[in-house]
Amino acid sequence: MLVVLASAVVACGDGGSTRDAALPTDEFDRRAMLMHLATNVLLPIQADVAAKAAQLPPAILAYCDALDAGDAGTTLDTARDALGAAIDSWQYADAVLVGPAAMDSNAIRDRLYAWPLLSPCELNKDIASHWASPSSYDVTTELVSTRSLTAIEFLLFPPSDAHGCLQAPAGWDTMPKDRARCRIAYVIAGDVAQQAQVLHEAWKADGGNYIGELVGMSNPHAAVNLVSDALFYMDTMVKDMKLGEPAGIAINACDAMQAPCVLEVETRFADRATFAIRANLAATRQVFTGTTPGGDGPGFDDFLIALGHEDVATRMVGSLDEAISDAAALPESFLSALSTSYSQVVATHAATKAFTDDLKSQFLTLLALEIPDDVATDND
Amino acid sequence: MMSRPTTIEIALAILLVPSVALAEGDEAEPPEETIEIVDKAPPGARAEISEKQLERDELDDLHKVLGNVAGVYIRDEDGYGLRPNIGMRGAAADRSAKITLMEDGVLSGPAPYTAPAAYYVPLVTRMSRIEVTKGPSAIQYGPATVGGAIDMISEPFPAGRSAYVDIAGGSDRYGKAHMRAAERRRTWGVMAEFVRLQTEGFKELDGGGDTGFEKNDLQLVGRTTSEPTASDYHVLEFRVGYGDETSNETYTGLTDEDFGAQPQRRYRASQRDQMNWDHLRLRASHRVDLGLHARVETTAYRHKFHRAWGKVDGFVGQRDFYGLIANPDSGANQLFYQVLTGQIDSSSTEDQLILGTNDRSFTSQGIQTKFAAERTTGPLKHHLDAGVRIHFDRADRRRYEDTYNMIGGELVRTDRMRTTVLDSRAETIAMATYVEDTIHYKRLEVTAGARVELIDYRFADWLTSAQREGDYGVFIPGGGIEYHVTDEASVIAGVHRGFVPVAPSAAADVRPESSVNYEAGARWRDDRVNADVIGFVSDYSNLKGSCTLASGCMEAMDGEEYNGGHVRVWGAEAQIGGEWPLAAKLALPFTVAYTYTDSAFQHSFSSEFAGWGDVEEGDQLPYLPPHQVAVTAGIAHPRIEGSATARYRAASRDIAGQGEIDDAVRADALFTIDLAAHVRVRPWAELYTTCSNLFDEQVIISRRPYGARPNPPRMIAVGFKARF
Repeated sequence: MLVVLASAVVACGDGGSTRDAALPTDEFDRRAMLMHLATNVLLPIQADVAAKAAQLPPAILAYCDALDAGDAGTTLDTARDALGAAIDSWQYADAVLVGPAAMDSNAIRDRLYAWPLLSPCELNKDIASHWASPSSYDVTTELVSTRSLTAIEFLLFPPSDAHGCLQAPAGWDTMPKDRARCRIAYVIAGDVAQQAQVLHEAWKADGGNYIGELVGMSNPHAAVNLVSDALFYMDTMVKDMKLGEPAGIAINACDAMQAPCVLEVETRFADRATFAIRANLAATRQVFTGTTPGGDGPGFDDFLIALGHEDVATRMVGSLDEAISDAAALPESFLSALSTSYSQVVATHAATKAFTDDLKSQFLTLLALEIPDDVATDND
Repeated sequence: MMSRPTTIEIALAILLVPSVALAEGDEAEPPEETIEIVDKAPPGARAEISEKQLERDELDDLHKVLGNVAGVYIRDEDGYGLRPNIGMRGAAADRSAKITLMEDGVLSGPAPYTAPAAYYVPLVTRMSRIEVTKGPSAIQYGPATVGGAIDMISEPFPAGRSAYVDIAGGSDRYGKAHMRAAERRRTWGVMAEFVRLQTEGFKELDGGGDTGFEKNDLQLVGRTTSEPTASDYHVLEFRVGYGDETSNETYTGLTDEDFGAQPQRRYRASQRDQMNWDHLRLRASHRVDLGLHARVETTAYRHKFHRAWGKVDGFVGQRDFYGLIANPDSGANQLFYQVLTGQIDSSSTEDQLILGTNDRSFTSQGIQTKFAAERTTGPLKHHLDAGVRIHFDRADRRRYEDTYNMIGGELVRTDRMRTTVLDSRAETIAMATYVEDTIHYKRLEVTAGARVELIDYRFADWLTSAQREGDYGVFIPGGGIEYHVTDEASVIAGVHRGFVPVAPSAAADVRPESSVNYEAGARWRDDRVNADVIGFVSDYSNLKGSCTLASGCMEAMDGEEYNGGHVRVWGAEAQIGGEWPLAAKLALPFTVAYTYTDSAFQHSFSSEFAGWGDVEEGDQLPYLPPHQVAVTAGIAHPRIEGSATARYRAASRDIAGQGEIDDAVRADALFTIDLAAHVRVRPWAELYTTCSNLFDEQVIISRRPYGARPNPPRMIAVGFKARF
């Protein structure tokens, strides 16, 4: 069944782009780079996400059962650890979003991890309705802002018992909130695990075989452009949304410049933004350099070098390494980092910006690649 | 065959006869002047919407007025033609940016060279007639010559003291008040005119609210002239006008499903959308008739236009509003759609709505001189037109964005500070000259002419400190022939170069639009029937795409332009009109306008321009319906007049493509019937009523800027006119 779903995902997707780039005339072997990145970087990431996501439902179920029994014990910590592992794993995939998860307006991506989309009121309504009538709740018809790992984070780290709606959901005041939250979290976790499995299958050769589709595209340069599109996550998400807006470097929801804005912090309930940034940077480096724990292979740096631009390749890898180093120096609590290590957050942002400045200019120009449609030409 | 008097001879004869009478009599009645001393129609396609036709149809919407002209394409947007999208012979309709729009021969757009999008057009309600020029004659008008020119002629100075009142009301609390008063003496005159239009709009905003507009326009004219007996007759005229508009208009349309359920619906998120503009126009003109066969007319003008259109056009986390409304069920779009429609509240920073205000200030000023003369050299009669214009225009563009939460169906301002995302200035100074000679030899008329545009432009982006400037010149030749087979029938042919300047804000690699335009056809003129049947080909070496939010581009692309390369547009148009006498004092006025059009990109490419996308060779241009027809017929009697107009416009495509039009990108075919009836209750007074879209047909007429938009429903109005 999953294989069928995975095949359908690949077959029905829009591929992320329909660019008709000119066929390359240089000697760089784009298909070799694509095969290496897809097989040795991207596919393992999908496999890890599926594995981590599969561990989440049983961990949450154990917590729910313990709650029902009246003594949660350490089951909540175990469930939260499983959630943290799943989110951290997803951060690798999110940073290099290519193929099935990016198709149809990031449909699978948002089902797995919808951040920054979260609707506390709608989710609280779902909690109440699910508690009252579990069979009436169908997670697959829910808005992405009330499902995915983002919703589970809210459920396992509830900031308060406030429902956040103009009117209290029916039964809100009387229901056992922890148990109700846990039960719906379990259902959502089941959906997340299934989506992760579908995604993994979509990549596999004996599933949807997206690797074959990517590498076999008639115009390999256009295929490379799909992967380079993914690198712009560093610009819009890491530089701006994960670092710039929380630190008040960019316009944010708090009307506060050069000052922290907690509202903009990723996974602020579980406080795992530091881990997320580190994972994003690590995944980006793997795709950019082709370097994996198993060894080096062709990546975008090799592409630049092959076209005679080793200086740009070196500079961009250097910027990435500096950002990785700066992120490693951040406290594990990003919320604390904003107050106690603000300058380190700013430094990480600056190093990331150095990379994305080259990404948006030299990188695209020298490799004759196009900027993604949804990346605005901002005023950096 | 008797030699027919030329237009200039007829005009001067009319001018002189009353002048002589006046010289013998008292000084109360000034001469009856003609406005058009010069034949402005050398061989080539041309159409005129007469005062009679405008009075009969009682339309305030330029779109509907031009719907009776062959070769003109309309893309409706708000249903009232507030910001017209008019194209001609394949030139894109978007904001009428590729045609030359004028009032009384003066460029009327906010900044015709720098920012040609026509967010301001003169109010058609106060116009006396409209001239549409296509083909080689278009080189007299510029800067855009690729499609043609539309000149809206305001009310001419009356022969004596007069007053005019037109009061009307109708559907959706439509109201019109149009008043004019003039005093004219022997050597001077003054005229004042005021128009107010208002309606509450036909759209139905979720949760209630006004979706209409209010427009005011005031014009004062003063003139002084030579003594009627002067051998060189001078006219000096000063004109000042001021107009403003507040319209609760939005860029947001509907999903197809919502359109099917309620075409007139407007989403809650558009509740604060509003356009405000004001326009000041100053003009001084001098005209001198040098003897019987020459005229020089000089006009200095200055127009100031400021507009600010605040409208919701994105979410913090979803800037692609067009994509969102086209695919409301795709991924996270479900969430954004529900916030857009007020079904759920905003709950994160990402689903906060962006209300972007495009704040623009424009200056357009210049001085132009036109010279017209007729000379006979041996067997040849020459009709010479020449002109020079020095024009400057400037566009200051700012865009700022505020964010709102949707809370309980209301938009509530968030704490996020206002951001300025665009702040730029672009300006152009241009010198345009043209000369055109029409040579008459027996039954043959040959016209040859050329236009030269010398353009100097500058652009500065105050946010990025990017600046660029440049200059270029362009030579625009054109010519045509007309052979009169009989006194009534003639054949015509012509060719001219089409040109649209490149905006200063465009990237350095964007080239001006350039084409070679051909036309050939036949013409019939007699006392009862005028008919033109003309085929045309526009062969673009470079078609230019201009990005505006109205065309569906995202805000970051506003003002950018794109090369579309080699494109061909071809077709045929038939314009027939006349008045057939049925009995004493009873006639049948009629017009028929039919246009067939086809087009094809001549190469494949991928474009960021919203209306093109991934283009394959052979793809047709968007919003170019293959068939358009408008048929008007009526009964005219001195006491009563009635008419019916049937219009059909075939389906067209929202983005370039070929073959069957997919439902998701289809602008539907539309058939409507409009009625008008007038009864003269007194020699000086009449009652009238109009009904547009009699069968209340509503279809998706456009998918730009964001989503499906309807044509107006059935509307009824009644009015009263008086002339004193």
